[in-house]
Amino acid sequence: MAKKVVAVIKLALNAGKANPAPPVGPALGQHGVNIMAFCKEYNARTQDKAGYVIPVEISVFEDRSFTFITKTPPASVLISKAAGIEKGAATSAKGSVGAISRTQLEEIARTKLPDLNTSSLESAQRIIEGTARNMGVAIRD
Amino acid sequence: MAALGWWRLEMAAPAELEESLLWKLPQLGIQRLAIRSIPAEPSAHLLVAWVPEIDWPEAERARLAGALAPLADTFALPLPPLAWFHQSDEDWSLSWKQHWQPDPVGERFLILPAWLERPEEHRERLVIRLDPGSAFGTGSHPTTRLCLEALEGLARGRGGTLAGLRVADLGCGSGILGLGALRLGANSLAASDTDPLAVRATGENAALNGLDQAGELAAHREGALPRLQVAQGSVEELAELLQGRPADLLLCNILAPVIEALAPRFSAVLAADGVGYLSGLLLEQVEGLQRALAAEGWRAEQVGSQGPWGLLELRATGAQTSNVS
Repeated sequence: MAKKVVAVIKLALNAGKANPAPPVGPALGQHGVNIMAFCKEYNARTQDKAGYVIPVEISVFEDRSFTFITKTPPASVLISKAAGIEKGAATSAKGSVGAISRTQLEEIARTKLPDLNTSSLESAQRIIEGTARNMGVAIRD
Repeated sequence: MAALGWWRLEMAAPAELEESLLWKLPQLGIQRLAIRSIPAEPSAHLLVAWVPEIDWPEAERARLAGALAPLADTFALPLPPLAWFHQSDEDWSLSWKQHWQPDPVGERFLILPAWLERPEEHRERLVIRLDPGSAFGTGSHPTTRLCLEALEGLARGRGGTLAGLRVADLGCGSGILGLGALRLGANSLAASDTDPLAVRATGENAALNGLDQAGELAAHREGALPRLQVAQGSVEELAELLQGRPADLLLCNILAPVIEALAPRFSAVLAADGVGYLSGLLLEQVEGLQRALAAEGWRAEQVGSQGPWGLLELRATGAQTSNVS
């Protein structure tokens, strides 16, 4: 039977390490979701990716049941990988830690498009470009 | 010493800014992050973050907006306001259970979370205990209630019991409908679901209710089915469990298109003189489904509704006598 979704919650969790502390406990607990069941399933499905942050999107239904899907890595992870850097600038010293090409930017935007809060590739590219600049990663034309 | 709490930060997360915030906040030591949205406003995302109270005194919290403002500048946006709320620490591994309460259904059933005692005011009701896992919820969905109430109605016409009936539950989910039928005295239950989680949940919930044991009637009658059988699969697997003898009562609470697709094989799981209850269908789907079922030799009458959901009672077209009335 079709059940009504009452909330959609996205969490950035370390693979294999979900536990009832925030954000999982309060974010899901307020909807009456069985916290331990979620943690057990998330950890089982991500244990082979230990060391990575695996975002997860949880749909909570009106009867407090839930489903979840794992999502693409955060944009910052994809940008850092493309730029060959460990992570972005510690401060907003923009354009100071690395660079990615326009082609790489488009690839990242395409990869992230299903998970960004937009349906337009053009908007997705603007989001990725802005995120990269905020990280101190320049865009090479 | 009293347990320390948390500060919960809430701020709107415009589409442009979301990924930048998800990058920057962990850099600032804020790693416990959630993005929340509701179906009515899917694009209105709310960022929620938790920080330990002891690490984030007022001065630190006040400085955060200044650290985030440049992210918004990049997109020529104002930084959405930051709102802080104190949140006490608690054992979240247990506190979610407070949302689950005993749920009376119809006149006779009580759906009871596994960890709760039966309230005194419901001592006359038939208890169905459920241990909520991921895939199955409270059992409070309107279609579940419609089916349980239909079972009650059927029992009412038979002296308050479903004794003597062999029941099949197609798409059993948590097992709640079949377990309800057993609670009303049905002889046996054969259940199937394509989802392995459902098969496990039905078995576990049956054990929780003590309904996995051989029933008196079934155990002492030659050729009787085991009281409870559950298989992963669809209508063919259910027919196998029934060992070539279709059930007296079919329960099927799934979606209308799935019911329509399975209808050609209903005769393998529901006897010509039996009755079925079909739900999981919207009222606007009733007519179409009735036509599809009629083409397969079944008469489906709408016998209940709740909100947008309908319940159909299924009998074979032209059945002269019914074993189940």
